[in-house]
Amino acid sequence: MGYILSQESANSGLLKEFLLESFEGLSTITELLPKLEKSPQDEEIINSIYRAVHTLKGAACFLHFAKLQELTHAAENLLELIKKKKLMIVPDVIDTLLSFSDLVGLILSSIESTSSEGASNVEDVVKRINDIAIGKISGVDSSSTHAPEPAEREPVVNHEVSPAAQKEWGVQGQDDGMPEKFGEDGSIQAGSGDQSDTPDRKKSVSDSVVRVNVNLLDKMMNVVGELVLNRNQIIQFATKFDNPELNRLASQLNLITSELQTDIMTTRMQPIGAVLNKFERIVRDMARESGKRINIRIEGKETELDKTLLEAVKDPLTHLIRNAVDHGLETPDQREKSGKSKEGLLSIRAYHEGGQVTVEIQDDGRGLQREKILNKAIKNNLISAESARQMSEKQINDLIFLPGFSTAEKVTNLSGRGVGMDVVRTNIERIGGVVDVSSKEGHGTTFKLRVPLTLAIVPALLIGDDNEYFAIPQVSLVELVLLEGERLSELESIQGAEFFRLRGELVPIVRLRNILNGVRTHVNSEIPDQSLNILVLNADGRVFGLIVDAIEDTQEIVVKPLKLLKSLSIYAGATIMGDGRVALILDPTGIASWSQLAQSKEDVEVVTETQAQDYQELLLFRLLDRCVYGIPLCLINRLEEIKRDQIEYVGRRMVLRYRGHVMPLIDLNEKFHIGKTNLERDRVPLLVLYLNHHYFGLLVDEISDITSSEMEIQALVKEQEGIMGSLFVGERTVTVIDTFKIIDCCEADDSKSVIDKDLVVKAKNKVVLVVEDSPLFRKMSIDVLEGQGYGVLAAHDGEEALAMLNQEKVDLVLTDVEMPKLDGFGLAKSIKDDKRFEKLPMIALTSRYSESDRAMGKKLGFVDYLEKFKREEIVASVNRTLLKAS
Amino acid sequence: MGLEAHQTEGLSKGTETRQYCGFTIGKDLFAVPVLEVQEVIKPQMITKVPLSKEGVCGLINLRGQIVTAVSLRTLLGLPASKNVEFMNVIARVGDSLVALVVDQIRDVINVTMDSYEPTPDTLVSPLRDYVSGVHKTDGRLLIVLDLDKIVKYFDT
Repeated sequence: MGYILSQESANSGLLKEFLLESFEGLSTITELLPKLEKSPQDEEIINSIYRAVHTLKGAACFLHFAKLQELTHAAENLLELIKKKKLMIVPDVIDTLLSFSDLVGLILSSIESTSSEGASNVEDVVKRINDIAIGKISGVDSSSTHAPEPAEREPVVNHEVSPAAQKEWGVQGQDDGMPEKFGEDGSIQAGSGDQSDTPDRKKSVSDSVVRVNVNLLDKMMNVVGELVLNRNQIIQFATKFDNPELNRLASQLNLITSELQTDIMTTRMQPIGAVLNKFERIVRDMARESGKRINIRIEGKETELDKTLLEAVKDPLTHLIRNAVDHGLETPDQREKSGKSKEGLLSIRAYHEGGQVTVEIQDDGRGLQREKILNKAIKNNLISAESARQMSEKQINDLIFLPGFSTAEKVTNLSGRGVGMDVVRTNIERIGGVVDVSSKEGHGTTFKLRVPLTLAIVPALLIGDDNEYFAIPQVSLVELVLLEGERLSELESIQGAEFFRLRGELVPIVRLRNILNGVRTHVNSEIPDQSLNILVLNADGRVFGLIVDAIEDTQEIVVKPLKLLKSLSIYAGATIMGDGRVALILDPTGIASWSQLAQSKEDVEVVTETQAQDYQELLLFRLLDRCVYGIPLCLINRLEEIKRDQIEYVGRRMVLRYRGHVMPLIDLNEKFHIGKTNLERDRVPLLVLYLNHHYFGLLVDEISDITSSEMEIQALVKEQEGIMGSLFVGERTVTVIDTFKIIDCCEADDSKSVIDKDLVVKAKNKVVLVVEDSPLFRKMSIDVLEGQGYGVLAAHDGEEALAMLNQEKVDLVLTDVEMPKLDGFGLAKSIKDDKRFEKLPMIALTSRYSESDRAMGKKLGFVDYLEKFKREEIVASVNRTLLKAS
Repeated sequence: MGLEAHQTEGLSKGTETRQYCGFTIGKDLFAVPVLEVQEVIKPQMITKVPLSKEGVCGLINLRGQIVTAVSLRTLLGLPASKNVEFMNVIARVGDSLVALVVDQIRDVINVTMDSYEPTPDTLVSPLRDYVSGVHKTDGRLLIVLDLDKIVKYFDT
C-alpha cells in the first residue's frame, strides 16, 4: 500500500508536467489544423503538427497511457505520409485529425480528473486514421492531383466521438475570448492573451501559483522603469532643499524602488531543476525498457533562467536525453565487450558561464559513429559523396543536426524518426542559443547547450566615448585588451587599416570613434594614443577588435528596440540607464559589416570551396623607383619600423637584433639595383619574415596596402633574379618578388646553401609533377624543385595532371588540394585507382591545413601532407620520398 | 441622382470638423491631427545617434519608452533655430512614438473640411514631401503634415 502511495506521489509531479505539456501540444494541434486546411502546402505547419503529435506520443509512452499511445502512433503515421507528400490534404484528412485531437482532449481530461485514460473508445478513430493512411478513404494522391468530389466532402465517421468531445472539451480549444477565470480553489488566472494555455485545467494543476501573462510582466518592468526615473528626479530635487524629512523619504523611496526593480526582474527567473528533475524518471523508464543500465547524475538544478527560455529548452533537452539513452549508451553486454563498466553514465550539468546558461549532457556510450553518419547523410541525399570526403570531424558531427537525419537504424517506440536533432537546433537557435556536439568514438558524446539567461535583460559592458555611453552585449565579448606604453606598438597599421596580433592571430581593429564619425579607415591622429582599450568581439564568427575611449562597467540592461531607426545596423537597440539617460546598444555584427571587415573564416572557406581558387593576400610596398611591389602576406611575420641607430653591421651585412636573434636585413632597393634605402629617415619600414626557422628583415621604402587577388600572374617582366612576375591589382601593376630567391642569396652568402650537392646527382633523372592552380605557388614550387636538380612538369589542375601522367614518366606528384575541375583528393583517388601508378608517391600541399584533411590525405595515399609555404619541409619531403623510392 | 449624391457628400464634407494640433516652424503654421498626438513636452535630455540620417535629433526617454526625436526644421530644409525653448510634440505612428521638435506650440485648431485643399503645386521639396494637404484658415495657411511619410523617410 505504502509503496503504491509513494509511487503515486512521485508520479504526481510528472503527471502534472505531462498534462501541462500535452494540453499545450494539443492546443497547438487544434489551432494549426484549420490553418493547414487553408494552406495545405505549408510545410512549416505540417512539421509543427507532426512535432506536437510526436512529443505527445513520447510522453504517453513514458507514462504508459496505452490508448493515447495507440492514437498518437496512428496519427503520427498519417502525418508522416502528409509530410512526405504521399497524402493530399483533403477535408476528410483534416476531419479525421480533428476528431483525433478531440479524442486526445477527452482522454487528457480524464487523466487529469481520474489519473486514468477513462472509458473512451479509441479504436474507431485509430481505424479511421489507418484507413486514410492506407488509402481506403479519399485523400491518397492517386498520381493525379484532382480535387476530391464534393460528395466526398460529407465525411465525419466519428460523429460518435466528436459531439461528446465538443461538449467536454471542444470549447476549451479556443483561446480567444475566454473570460478570466477564478479557479474553484480560489487561485486567480490573470491575463488571457498570448500564452496558449487552456484555462480550465489550471484550476486543478496549479493550486498555489498565480499564472501571470508575460506581457503583464513586461508592462510592469516598464512601469518600474518610469518609477526609477521619477525616483531619480525626486532625489535630485531633494538635494536642493536641505530638508531632513524630504531626504529621508527620498532615500526610502530609493530603496523600495530598487528592491521592486530587482524583484520584478527575478519574477521571470526559474530554476532549471523544474525541467531537469523529470529526466531521472524518464531515463530510468527508458533504461528498463531497453534493458540498459544507466546511472544518471544531475548537477546544477538551482541554476536559474528566464521562464520563456526555460520553456524553450525543455523539449530540446528531452530530445537529447532520449537520444543519449536510446542511441548513445550501449547495452550492458556491449559495454562489457568494449571494456567498460556495465552501467552507463549519463550526466547532466547546468551552470552559469559568461552571462549564459550552459547545459551539458554527457554520456559515456559508443559516441558518434562518423562512418555511419556519413553513409546515412549520403544515402539521404543530404550531402554528396564528393563533399563527404572533405568534411572535418566537426562538420561530420554537425550533420546530425540536418533536417531529415536520424541514425537509428530502426524506428523505435522511444526515439524519433528523424524529428529530433534538427528541432533541437532550431529551437535553441530561435532563442539566441547555441548547441554543440563533441564526441569520441567509443568513449561517449557531449552535447553542450548555451542559452542566454533572459531575452529581455542582457548583461552588457558599458563603454564611454566622448562623454556618451554605449552598451555592448557581453555575449559577443571575447576579451578585453589594454595596450599601454611599450605594448602600444603591437597595434600595426597598414594604410589606415589597423591590426593587432592576438596570440598569433591577426585581428582587424576598428575604432569606435571613427565609426561614430562615419570614417571607415583609421586616420592617424595628431595626438599619439596614450593607452588603448581594445574589446575583442566575436560577431557571428568574425573576430575583431574595437577600440573605445573608456570602459565603464558591466550592467544588466533592458533591451528596447529602435523602431524608427532600425535601418541603422550598427545598433542592436537602446536601453535606459540608471540616471534616465538613453544609451545605444552596439551590434558587433552590424559594426563588422559596416566597417567592411573580412568575412568570417567559414565564409571564406565556402568561397574557396566553391570556386576552388587561391585567393591570396599580398602586402604591397614601394621601393625608390615608386613602383608597387608585392609579397604574399602569409610569409610576413610582422611589420616593423626601425631607426638608423638600431641597425648593426656584421662585415658588410646589415643586421638587427630582433627577439633574441640576429636578424639579417636585406635592402630590397639595393637588391634590385635601384639604389639604397635612405636610412637617415626617422623610421624605415621593415618587413619581418620568419622562414626556415630564421628571421629575415626586408627594408623597403614605404608599405602601402594589403590586397587580395586571385593571383593571376600575367607575364614575367623579364628574367630578373628575385622577381617572380607581375600581376594586376585593380588598376595597378604589381611586381611580385620571389622571397625565397632573395633569402637564398642571403643564405648563400653565409655559405649555407640549401642545395644539397650530393642530391643533385641522384636527382638528375627524377621527374616531379607539380599540380597547382595558383600561378604564384606553381612558379615557386617549380623554382624550388629545379633548384634541387629535379626535372619538373607542371599542371594547372587534376585533369591536366592525369593527362600528363599518361604521356610522361613521372616519379612523384606534388599536388595542391584545392583546385578547380579535379581537386587534389580526386586526383589522388584517380591515381590510386590506376594500376600503372600503384607505386607513384604523392605529396599534398595546402594552404588550409587541418588535422582531418591530413587524415583524409593519408587515407587517400598521400605520403605527406604539407603547408604550401613551408618550402623547407616540402624540399625535405620530396628528397626523402624520392630517395626511398629509388 | 448623381448630382444629389454629390451634393450631400459635399455638404457633409464641408461641415465635418477636424481638430489639429498646431505649431510653428519658422514663419509657417503646421499641424498634425490631434488624435495622433499623445502629448507635448519640454526639451528633454537627448542622446545623439551617430550615423543616423540628417534630421534625427536623437533619442529621448519618455517615462521608460524610447522615442526618436526628429527636427522638423532640418527635415523641411530650414536653418537650425536659435531658439532654445523648442517643444517636442509626441506623436503616435503605428506602434512607435516619434517626437517632433518644433519652434512653438499653438492651440488645438478646429477647421472644417471645406477649407481643405490638396497640397498646392507651389509647394516645393523637401516641404512638399511631408505634406498631405493644407487648410485655408483666416489669414494664414495651415499646413498638414503626413506623419507616415516622415517616418518612412527615417525608416529607409
